[in-house]
Amino acid sequence: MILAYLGAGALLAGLVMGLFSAMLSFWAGWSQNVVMVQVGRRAFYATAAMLVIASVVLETALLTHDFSLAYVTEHSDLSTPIALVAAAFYGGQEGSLLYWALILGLLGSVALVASATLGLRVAAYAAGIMAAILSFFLVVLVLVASPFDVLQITPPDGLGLNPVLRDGGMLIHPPVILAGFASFAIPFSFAAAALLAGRSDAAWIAHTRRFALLAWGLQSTGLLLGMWWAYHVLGWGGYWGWDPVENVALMPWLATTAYLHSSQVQERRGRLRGWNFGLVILAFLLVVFGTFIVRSGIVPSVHTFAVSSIGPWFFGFLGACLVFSVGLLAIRGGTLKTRGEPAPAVSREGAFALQNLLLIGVVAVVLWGTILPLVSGMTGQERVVGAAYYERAAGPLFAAILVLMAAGPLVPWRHAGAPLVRALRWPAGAFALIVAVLFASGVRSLPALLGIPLGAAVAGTVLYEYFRAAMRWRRAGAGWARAVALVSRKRRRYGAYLAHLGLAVVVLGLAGSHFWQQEKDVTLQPGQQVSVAGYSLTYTGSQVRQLSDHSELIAAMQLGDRTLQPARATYASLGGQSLTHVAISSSPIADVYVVLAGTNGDGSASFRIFVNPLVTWIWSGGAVIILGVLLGNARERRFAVAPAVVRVPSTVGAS
Amino acid sequence: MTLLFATLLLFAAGPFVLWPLIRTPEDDLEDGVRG
Repeated sequence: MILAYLGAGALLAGLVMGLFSAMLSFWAGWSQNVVMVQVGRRAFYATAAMLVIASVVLETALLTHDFSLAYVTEHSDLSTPIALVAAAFYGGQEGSLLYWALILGLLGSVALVASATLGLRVAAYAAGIMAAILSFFLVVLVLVASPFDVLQITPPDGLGLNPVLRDGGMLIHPPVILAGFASFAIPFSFAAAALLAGRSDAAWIAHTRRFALLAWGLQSTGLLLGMWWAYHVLGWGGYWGWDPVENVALMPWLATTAYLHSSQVQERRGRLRGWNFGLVILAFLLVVFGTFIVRSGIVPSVHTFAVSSIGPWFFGFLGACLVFSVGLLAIRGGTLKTRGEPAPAVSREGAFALQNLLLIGVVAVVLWGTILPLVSGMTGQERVVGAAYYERAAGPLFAAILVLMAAGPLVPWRHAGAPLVRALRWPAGAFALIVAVLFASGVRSLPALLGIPLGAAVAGTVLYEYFRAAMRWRRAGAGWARAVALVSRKRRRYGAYLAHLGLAVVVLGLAGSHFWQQEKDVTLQPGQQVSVAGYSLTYTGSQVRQLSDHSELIAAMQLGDRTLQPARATYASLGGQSLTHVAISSSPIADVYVVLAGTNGDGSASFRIFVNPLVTWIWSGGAVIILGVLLGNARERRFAVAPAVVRVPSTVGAS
Repeated sequence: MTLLFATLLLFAAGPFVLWPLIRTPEDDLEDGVRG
């Protein structure tokens, strides 16, 4: 019981401190009061500390099974494994909001410590904006969705975590994707602060890009883990369903992908300044919009996660952020225009601009598909679009992006000439070769004949660039030291190419599993065999196993010398809710994916069997993307950790 | 009880937050020597 009051007290103290930090930082930045900027910044750190205290309290309450807290009762029970009890911290609405605020507080503090080079005013405004965002979350946590609400009567046991969440994926996917969502607020705060302070030079870009990259990296990892988890847990044979929850995680990722490319145009050529501000702001607005959509429950979603009354609060917050951002861009827009000749269309900057437009086009397609039920519902007839809409509308845009990924890295800055045409022979050759191979193999589907060769062309470009680097290395006299020096000097470029190569592998995986997936529903007696896409499986029998919090019906399927054990888990303590446990045999060529539908009175069992080609390429390509980003940026420039502001003599006691 | 904890925590954080206002020239000098 005492834990609840300590946690609620920490949230309340955090709210007071956050509001104090927000107001003081804005005033101190405006008046350029160095001492007060320091106080405002320290108040932000103190807010983060209060969130740490509240989080430790909630985690302690969960691990000690303190069922006097409504949150602990609703999201854990005595039979849940302890790791999953700990993960219940972010498994419910209130806890996930606290986790979000905690990440924002911690990463925001790091960003402020590293902001010494940005100047007093930008750093102060950034602290003010981050404190204001944090204060909003704290208002919601204190007034509407507190994880520290106390029950009148303490029950002997809790209700437990949703069965779908009782999986190892719960330990990795939600914390990463939520951290990704939270971290988009940091580049937004610094971009808006630079706009407020009237600083559109390259200094803010370097700082913002670093944290945009962090948010992008977290979101990429979170999206991949989400796909992996859905594939392994949900049992429908796929990994991406264009569900609103997936869409709202994808949109800020797309906008930030655009920014990470267009920011290079500003760094190298001083162009696209206003556009870059717009992209960083758009990514954050999409995060807030997505949170509103997902948590208000106004759009139908297969994710039944955390529908509650906080919708209107997030709607108000979205409105405030929208007015603030649009107003800021409108007021400062005039100062952001690029002077001089427009860039030639066939140049690196032209390719980046087109790629940005295409990515924003995909954002528009996904946004429209996500809000259509809401918009159409207002006119009386709710309409929902399926995967076919997204594939038809976004597919050509993605294909064009792949064309740019194949050609863009070969296009020089400023203008292109004859060497470009020579260099393009590599990706064009890879494209033509794969088209010919596919056509000769009998493939006639246009999307397959485009998607897979384009993925190969992207890989062709990257390999060509690495080949050129190797040639330069040989001309320079070879040797490991020179190789390291060569790669280190252009680490960002070669890291980005590695990320492109990873994406090409992901594209091949997506295309393979999408175009050549095979599926079969069968009912088998023990000893009976079935063949799907050349894979022979034999059903050998089933058994029931009793575990601590559920019982499992396990079937055994023999695939060569491997035994697959698809199962159905039933949670008696949760009103008999049942959940499928998929059995997957993975190889680089294909996954054999077996779902147990149930057993029948005559001893037979029913299965749905999928053969999904190249799915492992998606996970391994994703790992290569993240590796490329890490290698390209890990030690790009160390954080300028320095005293946050210039030290001035104190006036107190000076007399 | 919540208010009591909140007040205690605010008091605990106060010196850290307000340090730039309450430090003396001697503190600055010490910081300078250390730094």
